[in-house]
Amino acid sequence: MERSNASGGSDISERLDTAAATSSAVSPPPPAESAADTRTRRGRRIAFGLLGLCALLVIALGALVFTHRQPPVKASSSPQASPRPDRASPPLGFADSLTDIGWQQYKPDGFSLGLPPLWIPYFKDIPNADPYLEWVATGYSDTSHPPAWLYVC
Amino acid sequence: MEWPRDVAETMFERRRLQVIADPTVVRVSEMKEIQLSDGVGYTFTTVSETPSGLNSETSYEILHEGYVYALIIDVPLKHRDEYGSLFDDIARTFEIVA
Repeated sequence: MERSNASGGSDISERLDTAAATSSAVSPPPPAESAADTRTRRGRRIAFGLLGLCALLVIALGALVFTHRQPPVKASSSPQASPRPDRASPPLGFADSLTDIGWQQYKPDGFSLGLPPLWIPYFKDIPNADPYLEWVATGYSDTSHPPAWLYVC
Repeated sequence: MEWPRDVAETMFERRRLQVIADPTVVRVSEMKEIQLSDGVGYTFTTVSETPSGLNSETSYEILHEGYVYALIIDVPLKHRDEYGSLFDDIARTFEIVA
């Protein structure tokens, strides 16, 4: 009875050992596989990082080359050459901009004349003129200007 | 009939010298050319004594188809400089339409 119990106990123990050995042989040890995965993942990360850096470097170099090939652009704040009124040759006649600044054109018989703002025209004929002279007179007076007279002979 | 340019210049210079002979005239500027609407004109300024004081008279003259046209602007001498080139601008608007 006692032996039978002993042999029975040994048998169970062997089975348990065999089962334990069998089970340990089928499933791989987890700690050893996790380290390998970590190394692989780290390697992949490094590879992708290097690849990204290379791509950024290529883009930056391309942009640099593109910028250098562009023609120089003038700064918008640079002063533009604006046409200036030429005092040496002002507009002749009266069809230009004199009316825009308030001048008026007067057309007595035989001539036309432009006068600045507030100049009051005054025309009169001068008798006994030389046959080679056409005499006409015009004048202006204005309270805001010193007395001045203008004659067209 | 278009007169030669030197004829006009000689004639207006003679008129300027006649103005100098006037005893009321204090001084007369040199004559200079000015481009007018109807051709080259001539201008000079005369300062003369009047009962109201010294007077400035600026003449613009042009010979056009046998006729003389003179544009004369009078102003008291003390106000002459206020007008600057305005008188020249007025003269440039002068146009013979006859």
